[in-house]
Amino acid sequence: MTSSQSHGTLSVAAEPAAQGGRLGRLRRLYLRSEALRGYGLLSPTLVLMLLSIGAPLVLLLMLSFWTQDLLEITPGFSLDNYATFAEKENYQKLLWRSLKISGFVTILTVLLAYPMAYFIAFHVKKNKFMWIILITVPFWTSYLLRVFAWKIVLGYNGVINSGLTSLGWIEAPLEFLLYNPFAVVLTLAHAWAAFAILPIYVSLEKIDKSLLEAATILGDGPVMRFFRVTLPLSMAGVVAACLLVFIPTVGDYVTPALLGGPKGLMIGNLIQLQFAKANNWPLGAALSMVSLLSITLIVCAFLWFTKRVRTQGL
Amino acid sequence: MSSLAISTKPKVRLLGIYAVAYLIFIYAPVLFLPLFSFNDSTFIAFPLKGFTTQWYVEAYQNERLIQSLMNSIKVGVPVAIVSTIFGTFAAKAVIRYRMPGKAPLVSFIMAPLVVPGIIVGIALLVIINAVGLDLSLFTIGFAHLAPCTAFSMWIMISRLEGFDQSLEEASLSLGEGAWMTFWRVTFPLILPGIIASLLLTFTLSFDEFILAFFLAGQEPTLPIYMWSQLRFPAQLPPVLALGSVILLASFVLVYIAEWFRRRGTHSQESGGV
Amino acid sequence: MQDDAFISIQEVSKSFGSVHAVKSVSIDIARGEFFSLLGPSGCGKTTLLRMLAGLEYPTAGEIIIDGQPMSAVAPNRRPVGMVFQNYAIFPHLNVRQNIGYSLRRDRLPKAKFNAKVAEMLELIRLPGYEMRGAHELSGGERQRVALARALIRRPKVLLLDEPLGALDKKLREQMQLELRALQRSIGITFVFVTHDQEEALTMSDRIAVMAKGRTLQVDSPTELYEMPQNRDVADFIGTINFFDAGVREVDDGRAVIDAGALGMLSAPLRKQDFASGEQVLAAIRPEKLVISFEEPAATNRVKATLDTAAYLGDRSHYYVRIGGLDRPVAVSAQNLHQADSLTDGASGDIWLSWASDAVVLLPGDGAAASPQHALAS
Repeated sequence: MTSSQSHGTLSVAAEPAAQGGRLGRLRRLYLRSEALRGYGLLSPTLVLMLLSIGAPLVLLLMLSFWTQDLLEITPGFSLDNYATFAEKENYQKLLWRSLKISGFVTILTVLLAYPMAYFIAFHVKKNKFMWIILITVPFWTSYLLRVFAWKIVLGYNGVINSGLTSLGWIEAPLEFLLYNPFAVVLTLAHAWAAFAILPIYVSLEKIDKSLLEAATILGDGPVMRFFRVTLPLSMAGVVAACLLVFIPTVGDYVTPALLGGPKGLMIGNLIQLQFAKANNWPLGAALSMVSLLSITLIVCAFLWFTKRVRTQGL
Repeated sequence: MSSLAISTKPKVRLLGIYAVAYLIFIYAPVLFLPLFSFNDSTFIAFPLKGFTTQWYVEAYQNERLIQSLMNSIKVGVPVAIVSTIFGTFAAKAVIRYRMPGKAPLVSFIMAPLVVPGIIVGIALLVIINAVGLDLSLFTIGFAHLAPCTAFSMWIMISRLEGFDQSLEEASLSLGEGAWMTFWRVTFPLILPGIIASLLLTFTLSFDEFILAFFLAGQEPTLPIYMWSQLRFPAQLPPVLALGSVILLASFVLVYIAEWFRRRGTHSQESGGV
Repeated sequence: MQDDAFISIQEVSKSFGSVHAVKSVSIDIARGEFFSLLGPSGCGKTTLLRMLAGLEYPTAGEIIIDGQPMSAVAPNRRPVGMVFQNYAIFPHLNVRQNIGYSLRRDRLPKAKFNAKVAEMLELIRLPGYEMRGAHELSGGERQRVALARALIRRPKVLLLDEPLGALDKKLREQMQLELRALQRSIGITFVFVTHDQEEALTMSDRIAVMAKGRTLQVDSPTELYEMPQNRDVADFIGTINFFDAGVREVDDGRAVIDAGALGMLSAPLRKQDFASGEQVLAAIRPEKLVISFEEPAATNRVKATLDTAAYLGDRSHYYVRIGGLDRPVAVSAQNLHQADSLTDGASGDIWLSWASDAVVLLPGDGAAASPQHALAS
């Protein structure tokens, strides 16, 4: 120890200069305030989000109140575009259909996902990690290709039809497989599966296993135990899963465009049309806003309902 | 899978069978892409005609295809780096500091993951148009930053949750400032999460379609190029070949990423899904 | 503030939102002192230590170390080292890299660097451990490595946050002695946080007893034990018997008190003065009471009956009933001879006696209570 003291001078001495003056005060404030340091670290991301999501959405909202005659866009405040939506029954039908399709997709996805999440959470002992990876990996990969894969499966000359034909089970290809809402629902349920499994799995995994044992000792059979303990405790995951699937699928464009046919088109396709062939941006903006508003209302109603169920029962 | 064999109760076995069926449901449609990419026929239909690698050769020789592949990489690499830096700092702020209004801010940052892509796409198109920028690879990259940063923050939050705060405090008390503490202590310990974030955000950007669909200028990314080819049945087999390569590459990248992401936090079992 | 104070904590408070962790604490610590912050968990001792380290900043008040106000000084610029409760050994570095962590800025040649680390390893008696990984160390070894790491640049102050809490009893006692010896040999000021009173008494020059964010008393171990200033300190440190009493007469540093069932007693006035007529608490430590079967010659004596007895090997603990008191009185006696213990069924009338200096007078607070701590602890 003694010889190491020859280096003894400390470079960690305080700086007297930092004590007084405005700089000292600022420095003191910064050191003292955790919040300030936190906001500092968070600010680049917040600025990015404001620029790439906040500002564009505000501008889109403004645009929805502008009007367009032929190619001339007039700024101002007009409800014409919303009036157009209110007049055109086709538009409303398309939005209604989109909400219905997403609703079905949500229910189907969550129902299919729950047993899978339950299995991984409670019955997989050794390779949980492998199972989670197996479930997640496909969902990081190209959405476009996954949707396209269903076109190959369900198409007129697709896997199912050509397979059944070559086996001699059917004479002519089944036409009801593709270009309808059913194909859209099936494909979306497949494409968004991980968004349902993961939150449900997390909420199931968090359940203290001794609660289940307690329920058993108190006389509940497996079925009662599931409905009285497991399901209520995993509701947060189910609710999150519903939102994660419902919100983005309402505006989906790729799936209805590839697999929907005329009967399976959704609001996203109409919005895209306004920004492409129809070239009526203000109307497209208004349609987007109407979609966002409907989604928000449904989500709020859903959250209110689930909260009521959880606190007061049905 | 091994646990299936152990469980003897019929209920559990039923659940196990369901799980396997579910995996088939998830994987089977995707596996038809590579299957038909080796089929010696321009028609994508059964029965299979024979084995060929012709479509891969065609895809490889297609200059526009290779160019769009390069474009996707040109977008994906910087997007992955920038979004991982932003996401890491944001996650650090969220985990480390007490801040008023944290929850709504986090929800705001996560918003790009749920707002329908088409609405984000047109909104960005409108603002880019208003500012007077030309559509280019740059605008696509900018659009990809928001969802990729949100994902990166999510990944890094799950990585940082198990992080022992006293390690950083020890470094501070040993005379290192915030910056050197980050490089000497925090960074090496969260490196697996950072690698995972880089790989996953790259994959996300590389495969992204809807934002690029609205914001692509003269240079298409790979998904945009594939989309343009899907309309022509004659073009399908090379697209299948290309798609199979992309799927394989994505699978490998994501698998490595998940392996990194769960390494270390693995012991917590449920940690960071 | 004393002129010679090396660390001066001046009316420091710390709030986390609506929780007031530390409430206007003032402490002066001298250079080279082994100073302990003692208190139950949640008393604010760790928060106070973290404020010394700069890991938290006071909501009010100022901390001065070696003449420098610390309020605008970042943790990495403070002349302090710290040993963390979980040791915070960097898991990605080996022992040499851990101990030499703070030497980076010195840009030492490799040989010199290694020599300095080796020297520290000698000091903590782990020579040859340089290449061990953090995961290969036992609890005691981690503790030593953390110590070496904090000391290698010779900080002016070493802060220790319950560093022995994770060790088993034998190792802990050994480390207590080692730490104390190390502190003496290198002469650095130690500020030591613990909830273990025995540990604090064994190691410290002075101790601050804390509860609910405040300091109750700052004194040497002997003074804390022999002359507690209030009921809470007397109660927290060791075991003690309280008796309600009233001051009858004050004369020449002694007070005559009426202690009810104990009769009229004479007690020394030490740190506090009491006036005649004041209600006070008379406190006596269990080991200062002497049990005998025959009436003793001492002036301070009282007749009692034996209630329960526990044999602990080197000593025995007794609970004794005194007529007119509803609670039993704790007595502790060394078992000097085999026959000393009263535990083998003996019961019945006994005598208690004590030296008149054994009584400590404390400010009265109403009802007296029996010992709060089980004697066995």
